[in-house]
Amino acid sequence: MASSGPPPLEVYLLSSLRKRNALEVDALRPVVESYLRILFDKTLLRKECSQLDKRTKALAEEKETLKRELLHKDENEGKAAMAEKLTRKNAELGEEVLQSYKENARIAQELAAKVSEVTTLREDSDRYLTERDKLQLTVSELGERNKELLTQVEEERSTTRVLHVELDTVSQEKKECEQRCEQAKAENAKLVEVLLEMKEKEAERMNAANDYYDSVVSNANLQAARRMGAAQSGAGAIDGDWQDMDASDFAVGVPKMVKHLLPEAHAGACQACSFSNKGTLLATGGADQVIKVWEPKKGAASSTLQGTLGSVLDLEFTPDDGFLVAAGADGALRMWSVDTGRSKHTLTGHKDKVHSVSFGANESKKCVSGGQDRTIRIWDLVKGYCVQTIACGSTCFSVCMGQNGSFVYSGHFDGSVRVWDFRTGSLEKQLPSLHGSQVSSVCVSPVSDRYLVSAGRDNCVKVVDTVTFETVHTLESPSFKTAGAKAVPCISPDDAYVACGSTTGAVCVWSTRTGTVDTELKKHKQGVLACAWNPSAAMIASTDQKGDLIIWD
Amino acid sequence: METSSAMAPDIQREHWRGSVALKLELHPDEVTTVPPPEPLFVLAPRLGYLPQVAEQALEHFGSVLPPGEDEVWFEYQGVPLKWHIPTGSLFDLLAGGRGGYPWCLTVHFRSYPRDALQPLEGDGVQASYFNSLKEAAYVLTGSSSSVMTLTKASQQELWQNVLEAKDEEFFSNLSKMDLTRPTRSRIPVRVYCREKVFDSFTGWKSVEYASKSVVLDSEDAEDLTLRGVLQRCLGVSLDGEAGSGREVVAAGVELESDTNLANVYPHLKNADMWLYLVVRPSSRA
Repeated sequence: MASSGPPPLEVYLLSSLRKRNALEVDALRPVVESYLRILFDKTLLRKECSQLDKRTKALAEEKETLKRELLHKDENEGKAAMAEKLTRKNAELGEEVLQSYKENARIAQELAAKVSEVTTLREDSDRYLTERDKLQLTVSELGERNKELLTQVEEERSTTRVLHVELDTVSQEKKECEQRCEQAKAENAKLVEVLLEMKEKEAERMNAANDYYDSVVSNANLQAARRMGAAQSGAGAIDGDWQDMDASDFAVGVPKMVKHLLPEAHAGACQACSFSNKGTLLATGGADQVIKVWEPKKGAASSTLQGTLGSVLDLEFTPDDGFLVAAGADGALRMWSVDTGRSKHTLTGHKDKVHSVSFGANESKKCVSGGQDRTIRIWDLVKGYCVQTIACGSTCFSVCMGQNGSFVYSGHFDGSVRVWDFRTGSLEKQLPSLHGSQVSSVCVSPVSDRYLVSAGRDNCVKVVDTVTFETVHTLESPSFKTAGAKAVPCISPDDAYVACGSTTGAVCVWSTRTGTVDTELKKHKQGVLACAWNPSAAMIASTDQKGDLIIWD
Repeated sequence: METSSAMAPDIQREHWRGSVALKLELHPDEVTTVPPPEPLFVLAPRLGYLPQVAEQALEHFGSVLPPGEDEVWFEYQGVPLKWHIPTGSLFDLLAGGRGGYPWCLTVHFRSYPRDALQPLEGDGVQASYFNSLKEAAYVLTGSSSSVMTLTKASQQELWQNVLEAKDEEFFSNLSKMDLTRPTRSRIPVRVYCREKVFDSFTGWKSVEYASKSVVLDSEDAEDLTLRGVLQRCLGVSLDGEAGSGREVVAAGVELESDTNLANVYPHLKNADMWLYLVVRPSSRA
């Protein structure tokens, strides 16, 4: 088969494929291709068309604008023709006008001449008119002035009339006064005579008094000699006058021995100590912001009161011993129940440290306090607020209330002691410069109210009589020094002794009768700040700068 | 069996040159402009696949489409066309023999008929082609490794050759894969058989399909004839009264019933190495 040419199948296939392609491909390819080309051209033409559309639009707009311009032009041309005709007419009319102008000019010249005459006349008349107006104005002004002056004259006339009247009355008064003066002179002369008579009588009375005084002095000397004799006889008894004056029934001596030594009862200085009024409790307060209540006989602490925000500077039991009030460096007074230890009030009002607090003998509902802010305040302890504020002018270091509750004694920075009426708050008495330096503490006799004792920083304690306000004794001792520190004195219940701590560590006990040192209690290692006398026993409690508490018996 | 006659290259060239002229019209539902767009005329290679003209169609119709995602599919006589069948075979099967030139198709870009067609995503056509090539390689050589081991680059090259219908470059590329020299004496044959008119009523139900590897070393030469193969594949008889109403076409060429397929295969095999046979009602009847 191979030799006889290509196999018939292949020939058939080739021919039929060629036929197929001729029909399907070769015939249709040009159609399709040209169709695609036409499509392409169409899109191109479409684009061109759109561009041309845009251009025609633009051209149409341009044409529109040109048309409009053309219309304008046409109108203008029409107007121009009209204008030419009008100018021609204008020229003709112009000539006529010229002629008429010339005539007018002539007339105008004549007119002008006349007008100028008229204007000159008018100006003249105007000038006259203005002058007339001015004159009228001045006339009216002058008229007003005249009126004013007339009224002034009238007023002055009336005032002079009034003055005349007044003058008359005054002259009358003057006459009366002169008369009175003469009468007074006469009275004066009479009174001088009376006075002279009275003075003579007075001189006579003085003479009589002098005689009486001399006799009394001689009697007194005699009595003193007698008393000395009795003392030498060793009876040791207190004379009748003394016993009458001392109302206390307590048998009190001077403690000599240390009963309890409580070292460092407070951490830091202990500035305040006070016995309860029955003498069964002792309270101390110190720089550690704590108040401790002790049983002085056992020497043991019974309770601790807390709540103050500063050093405790002073404290005192209420007269019924139910509460304890403490003054603190935080400017507040605090009140605790002694039994429960519960705080009842915080009394605020002082603007600075409260240095002292005090009660009267029977008044548990009111207390008095003195502070750095130069005020003394009186507090209502039931309601818990300040009922009276007394401005005392100088820093008050200490207040003390008299036993009868009517006076408040205060010691001040300026060295004076002042006495105030508790009810009215008025200053009753002032003892200026009682001490040479600050008064650190004052106290009064616990029962009798007889003595006022004040300790100053001038190394002395003064005992003042509360009736006469005269200094009875100035208590001093070589071992007694208070300069630069607080010293709180105390008086024995029978007024016989005054005790006060010293910076040397000694507690000096003076006799109020003789004004001399009776005992010196030396046990403290540091300066003694405060001491208190048990109101019902010969017992002294003293505290020092280290915080030690010693109870003497 | 290899025939290397002088006519073989001419036949190959003519076979690969074949194209089907398409007249594409956009479905009226997807037209959004008045007047509707002009139809598009394109030549689709017979050995290629329909979706390859999609890009051109989209360029032409894209401006009038309603908003949405573009998923191209083609419709003939109201029936969606299966895109994985080569264009030439589709044409022969559905429209050929009735002389309808160009082939009028409706193109869609919206509402893809997911219940009727395999979804077309990305380079799905290429994947489908290589799948088919793999099957052919297995029939020819007993192993599909020659296709599996292709690099991505040479796959792309081969696919481009198919799309552009460049037979010489295609076969030179293919020769590197040892597919041209079969080691087993078998050939892969696909048969599509249409008994009735293809329209929206019958649709793809009227088309029967079979893939077959035909053994060449058969003692009975009758087995290799077209008649014998069709009888075995689909039970389709080409003899008698029934046979006279049918015609068998490969690549647009009508074949006699006693044609030896072993001789036809080397000339008329498709780009995926399959011989596509189309049985259709005779146009002469």
